Amino acid sequence: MKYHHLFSPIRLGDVELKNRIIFLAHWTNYGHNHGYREDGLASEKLAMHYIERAKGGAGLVCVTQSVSPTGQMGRSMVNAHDPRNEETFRFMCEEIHQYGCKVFGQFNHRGHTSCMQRPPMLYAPTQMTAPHCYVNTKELEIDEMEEIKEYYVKAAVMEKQWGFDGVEIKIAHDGLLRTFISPYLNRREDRYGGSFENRMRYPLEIIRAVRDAVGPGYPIGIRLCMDEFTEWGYSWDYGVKVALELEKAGVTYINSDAGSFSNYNFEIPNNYIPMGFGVYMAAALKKALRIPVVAFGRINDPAQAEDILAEGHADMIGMCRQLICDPETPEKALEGREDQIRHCVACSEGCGLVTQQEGVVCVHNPAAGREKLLGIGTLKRVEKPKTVMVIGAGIAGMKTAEILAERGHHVTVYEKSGEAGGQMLLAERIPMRAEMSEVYRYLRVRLQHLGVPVYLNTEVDETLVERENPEVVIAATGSHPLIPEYIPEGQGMTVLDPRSVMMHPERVGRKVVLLDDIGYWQGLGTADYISALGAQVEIVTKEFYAGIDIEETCRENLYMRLGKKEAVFHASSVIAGIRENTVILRNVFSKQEELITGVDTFVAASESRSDNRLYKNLKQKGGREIYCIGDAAAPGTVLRIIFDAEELGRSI
Amino acid sequence: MRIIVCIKQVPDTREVRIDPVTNNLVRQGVPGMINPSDLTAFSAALKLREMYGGSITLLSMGPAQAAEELERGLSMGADRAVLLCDRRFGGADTLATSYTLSEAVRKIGYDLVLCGNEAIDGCTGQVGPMIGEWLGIPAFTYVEKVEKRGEKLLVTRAGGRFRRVYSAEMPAVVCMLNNEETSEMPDNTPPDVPKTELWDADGFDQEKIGLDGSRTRVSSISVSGRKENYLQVEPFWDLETRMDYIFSGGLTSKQTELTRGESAYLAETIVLDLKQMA
Repeated sequence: MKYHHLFSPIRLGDVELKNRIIFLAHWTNYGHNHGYREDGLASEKLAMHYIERAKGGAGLVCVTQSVSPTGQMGRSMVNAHDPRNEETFRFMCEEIHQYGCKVFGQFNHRGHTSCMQRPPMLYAPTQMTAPHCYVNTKELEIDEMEEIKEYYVKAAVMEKQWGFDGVEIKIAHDGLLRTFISPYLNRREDRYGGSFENRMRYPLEIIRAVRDAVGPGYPIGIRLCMDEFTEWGYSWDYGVKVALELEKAGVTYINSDAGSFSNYNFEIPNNYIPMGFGVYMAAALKKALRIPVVAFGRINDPAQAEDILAEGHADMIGMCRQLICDPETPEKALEGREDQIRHCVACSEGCGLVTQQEGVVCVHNPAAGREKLLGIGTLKRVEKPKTVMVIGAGIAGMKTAEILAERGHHVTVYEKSGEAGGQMLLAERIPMRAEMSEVYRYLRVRLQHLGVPVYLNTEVDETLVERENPEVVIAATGSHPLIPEYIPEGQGMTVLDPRSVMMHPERVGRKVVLLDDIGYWQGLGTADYISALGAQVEIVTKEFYAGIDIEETCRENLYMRLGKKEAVFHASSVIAGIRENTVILRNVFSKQEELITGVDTFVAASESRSDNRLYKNLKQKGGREIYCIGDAAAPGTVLRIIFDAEELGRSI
Repeated sequence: MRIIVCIKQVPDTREVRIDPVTNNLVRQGVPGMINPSDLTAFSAALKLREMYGGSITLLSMGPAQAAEELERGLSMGADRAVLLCDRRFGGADTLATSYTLSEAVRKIGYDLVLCGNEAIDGCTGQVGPMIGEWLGIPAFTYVEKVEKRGEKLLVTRAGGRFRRVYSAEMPAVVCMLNNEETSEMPDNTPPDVPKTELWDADGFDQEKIGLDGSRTRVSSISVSGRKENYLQVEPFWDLETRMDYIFSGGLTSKQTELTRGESAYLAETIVLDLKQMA
């Protein structure tokens, strides 16, 4: 068997997992929030999310929950200790077990971090604001610590009765227990601080209390932060030291992890960080421990996972976003359909919304968070297939074609350029963003498997539509970028839009002013591309900062890259005029003007306009079903467009 | 066509354990198997015999337990199997081994000698070509495919980014690269399976076989550290170093200066640069 290690069973205490793939615990924000004391309730949506991953073939799913009324990260984070969750959780566990999958509850107390904008009281071992935050904390008193411990025990016992197979205690990134083991954050002078032994005392007391309550064979795992990734924080040698103590305390397995809210890069690593970056931490644990170890950190693919296990760096593979993106990853690997695995591109654009109190969604899996209606097995074949002409092999066109073809319609795709992929073909050229190509690669492969012909270099006009005479026409004809009217053309300064920059880098000069009027990747992504060409770039935005609509961790990485290239930022500024080689800026608040001289290229990253003339003409003519989708309907992000395409594909 | 396939019994590497104390391979209780690329060679022989007729003789040198692999080969359809089994053959390096095998090949009679490109336990890749030398016939290494065209052999070799096809007179030695597809050949037991012949060292030049015939000695064997196919970040590095290392994927790249512009401008720049260098 190709994935001999990945699909071999493993025993954790009294529990046997059918394979080594773990759906890692993560916030979903799928819990109900009906206000004070009516929040943190498990929902059907949450249950369906985990059931879907069991259906897709994972060996274990971990369900994140908060413990203690003072422990919630956000109001829609499910409370572990709330008896009102019994019905939903019993249903969830039963369903998960039907697929031969196991389910663990992961418990966490928020400690000094919260995603709430005006959080209630935060708690820490020692009073101080968390280094990434402005909200101060209360130093935990001994009786409060006892109370929190009781909640851990109560939740573990209750959930064991409800059908959970094990418990995972989080001593990782956000959360109270990590702050206890952190030498920087724990400055207590009582028996819970001051020495390594004292810092370990509280987590070990909790583990012991839970162990006494759940009995000897019940798995208790730990999600452990191996490296805080801060100037003041501990590194992985300390992580190994902690893990050895945990092993001595009878913990069943260690699930490795890294980063904290103070360094988000490794908590939700985006595509600036290489795949499998965290394996060295699992390998260090594996060398030191005898209990099973879980590897983490951008593990997206069964071949990659198999290698990590075969080389002996870990015993299990943690996948979170990969299974959000494609719950059927394990099944597809088993069936030898690896080319049809939809890989996570680590853009964090959908799942990263959790930090803003939004439910998890996925850029190219519309079913994430909507499993009940769009999940596995919900696509129904049509009784009367129709002939469909899809105009445009961008993402919108290809996604619609995929869904339609899967439902049995006879679909043909036409593309006027020589390549299918649309604007993703440009987005992938932004430095470090090559993985975005997976969005179109997946769709191209799907269309191939579904036998959908894609005619390249074929521009569709009304005559061609008449001749082919399809019953349905899908206009996915895209958009074109606009240059604001007040930007004068010519006069010794080249004026470009982001798309022409990506297509014709030779036209970019040596000193570039880029107007970020859109806040999305067309702005800072293009700036990064330009600076990689060796040009000096100055970025102008009317907002408080450029890239305001880019996912926050990616934005930070863009700023780091641009900062190294000495890019200059002009925030809260508009273009007051352009004269020969000088760009005049005006601050929106002070109205003061500023000159940028010696400019040879001006890039306007502004809005786009839909190309929908053909759609309008065909619709006016009538006589057949006609729909408009993607940028052709309204220019937008790939997340929205794929979702729209899925819905349209299902509605015909 | 008289085909001889040289076969080596090797420990099944999927079962090999490393003694954590001595760092040596633990061979006790480890099952043997036919060296994978030898199996590919055998499968090529079966195909040639099927198309052009002739006979297949399996030839091996080793301890008595190596007969297991020859018996497996016989049950898969070889006509004859010879095991060179004698203490006097022991301790042979590639020179003595290839001499011994080439003498046996001579005695058996041959048009084509097929070998694996190299054995997975020794990895020298020397024995096949050396047999060719002893016999004074051409030897081909890194062979992907061997066919017959008329009276000649057509041999496809993989080398770097190229595939070279040679035609050669017989007799010849052909060393096959491992091909995964042939590693799981089903047993196809013919009705009368012949017995493996055991040959001793009588009749071989005693000074050229075994330890006496060897010019090289293995002075020590140790296990090289397992290759770690991941970024190794050291805990004592400061934050910036750790982060830079991870972000760059452990790669260091030199910043190169890009020159961009119209083709005339680029040509001019290149000429100027060349002049400066001169």
